Amino acid sequence: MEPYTGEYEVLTMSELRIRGVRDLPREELFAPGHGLCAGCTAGTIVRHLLKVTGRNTVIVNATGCVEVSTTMHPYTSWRVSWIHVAFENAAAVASGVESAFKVLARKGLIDMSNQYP
Amino acid sequence: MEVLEGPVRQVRVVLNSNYAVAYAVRDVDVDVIAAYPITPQTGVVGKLAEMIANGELEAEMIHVESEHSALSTIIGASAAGARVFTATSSQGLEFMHEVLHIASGMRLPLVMSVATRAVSAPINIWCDYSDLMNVRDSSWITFIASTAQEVYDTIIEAYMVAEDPRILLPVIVAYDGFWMSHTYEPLHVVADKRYVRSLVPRRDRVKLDPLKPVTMGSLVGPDWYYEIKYQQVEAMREAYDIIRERDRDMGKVLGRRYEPVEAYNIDDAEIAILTYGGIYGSLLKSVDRLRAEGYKIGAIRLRLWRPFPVDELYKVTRGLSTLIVVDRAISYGASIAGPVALEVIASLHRMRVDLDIVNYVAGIGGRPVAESDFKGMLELALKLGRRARELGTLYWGVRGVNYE
Repeated sequence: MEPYTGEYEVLTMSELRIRGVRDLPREELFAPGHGLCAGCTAGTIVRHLLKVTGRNTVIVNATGCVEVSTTMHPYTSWRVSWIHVAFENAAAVASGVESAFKVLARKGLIDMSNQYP
Repeated sequence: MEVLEGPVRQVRVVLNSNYAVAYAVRDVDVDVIAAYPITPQTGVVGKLAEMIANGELEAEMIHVESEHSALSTIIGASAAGARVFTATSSQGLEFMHEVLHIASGMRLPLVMSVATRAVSAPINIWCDYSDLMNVRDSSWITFIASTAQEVYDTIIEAYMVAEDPRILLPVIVAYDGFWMSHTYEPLHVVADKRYVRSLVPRRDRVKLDPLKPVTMGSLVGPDWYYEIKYQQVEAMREAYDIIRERDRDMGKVLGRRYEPVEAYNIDDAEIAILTYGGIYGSLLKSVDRLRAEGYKIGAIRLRLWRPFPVDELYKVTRGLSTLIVVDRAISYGASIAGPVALEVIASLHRMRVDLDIVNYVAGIGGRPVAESDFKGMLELALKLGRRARELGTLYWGVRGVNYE
């Protein structure tokens, strides 16, 4: 995939102006070729979810169909950073990811302004 | 422990081992801490919460609903690039069990302190090493400290080892619950924490970065899983040399040098007693007295449990005729019930050393192991002779059990 070089307007969730399919970003952050069953809605949901969240996203995925079907080593369908730990702890893992970004930015160890919008 | 002259200014303080952990975690500048309170560990995170509140440590403290979540949370934080810490004991460590394997399999440099404690049932909050021995095969580098000073130093060393790009494995630093976690000892801590931070520089590694997307924790089938697990085998093996390097560094800069296997009065010894954790202090006293009584006896302490220091053990035991291994946990139904004794026997067999090894299990559920107990164990072993070896494991101090 070509690296993104353009600019986005930074929008919060409430400011997003996606009224219909024509307003959706063209960029695909969920790659085709995953192993989900034909007709499975999960793939469509994830694809559109990433169109809304954009690149500045870390996905924490619990064990399940989406996880096993999209990350068969050495391939991945995810064009955003993605982590899977176990079945029951995705929320706990996500709280750690969030806290890490907060404290690392506060300590000046990462530059959050440099992220994709 | 060898005391050397070090170039760094240090201050003498009085701390229990729980607080010694907290001081070290503060000094290495940890970013994210998640923990669930459990006796006898609670003092560690209690102290850290105080340090964060006082502005001594800039970190996020996440109060979670279980130890399973505590470890999961710091896995997430570490994957995002933070330096992380948690602490636990007993049931908490057991509850983490599933995630322990994931942490090491994902090659995250976590550090955890374990104030060792018996496991339920019956519920018992006092010290033994059943909890630690239960997580033996989870691929965590494991140190067992025997003084508060060593706890402080080893936490710092743990970050140096875990974050080494050649290793990237999580590290446990264990010490006796109550016997050490709640008893106060004098120790030296580094006066200027910036110096400690220079020992553990921030290194770049693969992390969850929106600018450089990565997939972590993917599904791996039979065609790749084995190779990935073998990399863990290699990392654990290589960790041994790196730990030896860091031991030497710690000796140079802090003036305190540790060995994976430490020995006392061993040069002319015919018999030695090997143990681990805080009761080593009592063993040293006991050996002095037994020497005065004419026994040619020495003491050995295991400091590094994983990776197991086979060569170092061989060096200190090859001249002995009898080795008594005092274990503090039971592997039920095993040929040798003491986990460390089993490992010692396997190691010496591998090195083609055949000496009489007697295994005692002692101190279970917080039962004290005093100087007189070591003397009693020695006398019983000598009295039983070959039979002691044939019995496999002797359960020291259990009511109603008599081997004579």
